[in-house]
Amino acid sequence: MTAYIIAIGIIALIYVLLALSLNLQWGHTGLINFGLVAFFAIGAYVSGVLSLNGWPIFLSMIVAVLAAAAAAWPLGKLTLSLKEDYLAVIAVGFSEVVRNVLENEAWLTGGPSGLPGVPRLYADAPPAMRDMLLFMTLVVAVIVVVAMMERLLRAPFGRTLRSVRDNETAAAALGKDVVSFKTRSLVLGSGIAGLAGAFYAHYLTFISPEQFTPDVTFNVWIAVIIGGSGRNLGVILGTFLLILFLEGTRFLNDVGIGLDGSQLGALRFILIGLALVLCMLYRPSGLFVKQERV
Amino acid sequence: MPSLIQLLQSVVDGIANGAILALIAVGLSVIFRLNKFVNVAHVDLATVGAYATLFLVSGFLPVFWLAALAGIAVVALIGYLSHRLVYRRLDGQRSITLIITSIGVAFMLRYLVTFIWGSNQRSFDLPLMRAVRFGDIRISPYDLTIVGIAVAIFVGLFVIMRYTSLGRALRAVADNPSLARVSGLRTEHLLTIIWVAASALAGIGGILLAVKTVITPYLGWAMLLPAFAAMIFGGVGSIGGTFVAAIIIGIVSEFAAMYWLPTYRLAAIFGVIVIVLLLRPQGLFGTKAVAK
Repeated sequence: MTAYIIAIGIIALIYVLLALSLNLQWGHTGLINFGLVAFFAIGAYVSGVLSLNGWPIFLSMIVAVLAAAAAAWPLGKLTLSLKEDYLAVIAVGFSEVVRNVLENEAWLTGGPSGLPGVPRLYADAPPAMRDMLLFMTLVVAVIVVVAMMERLLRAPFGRTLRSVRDNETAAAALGKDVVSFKTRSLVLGSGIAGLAGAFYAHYLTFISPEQFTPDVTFNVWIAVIIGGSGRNLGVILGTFLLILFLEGTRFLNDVGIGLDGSQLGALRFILIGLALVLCMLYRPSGLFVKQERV
Repeated sequence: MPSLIQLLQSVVDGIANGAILALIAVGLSVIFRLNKFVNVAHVDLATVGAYATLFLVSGFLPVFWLAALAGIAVVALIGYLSHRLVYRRLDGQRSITLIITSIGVAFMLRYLVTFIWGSNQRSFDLPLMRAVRFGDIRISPYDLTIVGIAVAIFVGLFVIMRYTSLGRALRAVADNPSLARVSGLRTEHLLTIIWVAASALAGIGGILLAVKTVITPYLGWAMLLPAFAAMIFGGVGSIGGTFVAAIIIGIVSEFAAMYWLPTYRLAAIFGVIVIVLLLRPQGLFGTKAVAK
C-alpha cells in the first residue's frame, strides 16, 4: 500500500511540475500552450538518450531542461506577435510533429517500441528506498520551482507578465516589449516541463511515443483551470484532484459499473471536456477562489 | 526518384485531399473571422458527420446518399446547439476563454463518439469502382465525385456571397458586426445561419474523408493543423483563398508522403505554416488586420 501511494505520489508530483509550467505560461501570462506535452517529451527523450549514452544522470537532466526551453523559443518567435489562437493551434501541431519524429527516427529514439532501460535515479539504493528518495527529490524540486516562481512573480518581471495577461495593449503602451516577455515566459515554462519529462523518464525507465499524446496536455490544462489559473497552490491542489479523478475512475468497475478499458478512457475525457466547458461558463477563475472575470 | 507519372498521380491525390480539407477549413476560417476565435471543435464535427452517417447507413437509412444527408443534418444541429448553448453565452469574452471552451466541446464530441462506437477503424461499405484512366494517370470515380462536390459547393458559396442579399448581409456582419446591427441587420440570426452552414460543410468534409480513407474517432482531429494551415495561408475569412490554399496544402502533403515519409505529411504542413507566418502572416488573400 505504501509503495502504491509513493508510486501515485511520484506521478502526481511530476504532473505538479507540468501544472506549474503551464501555470506560468497560461495562469500568469495568458499563453495558450496546447502543446505542453511536446516539451515534456523532449525533456524525457533528451535525458533518456543522453544517460543511455553514459552521461551522468544529473548532467543529462540539466541538458534536457535546456533542450526543452530551447525548443520553445522558435515557437514563441513565430507565434507570439500574433493573436493568441495562433500559438494554441500551432503548439498542438508541434506536439504531434514531435511525436511523429519520435516514432520515425528509430536510430535515435527507438521508434514506436520506445526507449527501454533508461537508468534510474538513486540506482545504488535498495529498491524500497529508491522510490522514497525520488519522491523526496521531487518534493524538493517542486518547492524550489514554486519558490523561484513566487520570487520571480513578485519581481518587476512577474508584474509585467500579469499586465501582459490582463491588458496587453496597456502593457505595450507603457513601453513593455510584450512579445519578448511572452517568449521568455514560454521558454521558462517549457524548461520546467522538460524537467518533469526528465524525472518521468528516469522514474519509469521506459519511454515510448504513445506516452506523449495530447491527452497529457489537456489533463494538465484541466488541473490548472480547476485549481485556479495563476495561483500556484491552487494549481497543486487541482493536480491532486486530477490524479484522484484519474485513479478513482479506475475503480468504477469495482462498484459495478462495467465498462471496457476504451470506454472508461473515453468517459474520463468526456467528463474532462464537460468540466472545461462548465468552468469557462460558470467558474472561470477556478473552483476554490472568489470569482472575478479573467 | 519517382517518375513524372507518379508525380502527376500524387498531384491528383493531393487535389482530392485538398478539396476535402477546403470544406472543413472554410468554416473554421469564417468563424475565426466573425467570432474572433479558432473553434477547435469544428474539426471534430467532421468526425461526428462520418459516424452519424455510418450509424444511419447500417440501420434506418440503407441508401448512402440519404444517410449522408441526414448525417450532415445531425452535424448542423450540433453546430447550432453548440453556438446557442455554449459560445453565444461567452459572447464578449476574450478569445482565450472561447478557445479553451471549444477544446472542451471538442473532447466531448470526440470521446462521445469513442464511447458509443469504440476506437476501432470502420469504413463505409461502398462498392469498389474501376479507376478512370487519363493516359497513364488513374483517378478513382470517388475522387472525381469528391472534387466535383467541393467545387460545386465553393461555386455556390461564391455566388451566394457575391450576388444575393443574404451574402451582402453576411459580408456586412463579417466586416463590422456592430455597424451591421445598427444598420438594421439581424446579426444574431445571420450568425446562426453561418454556424449552421459552417458545421454542415465540416460534416460533408468528414463524410467525404471517410469515403476516401477510414473512419476513426481521430478523423477530424487529425485535420486540425491542416485546416488551420489552409485558413491562415488562404487568409482568415477568405472563402476562395481557403479553397486555393487547401488544394496547395493537399498537394504539398502528398509530395511529402512520396519524397519523405508518409507519416511526415503533418511535418510538411507544419513547415507550410512556418513559411506562411514568416513571409506573409496575413495569408494569400487576407488583410493584415485579422492576424492580430
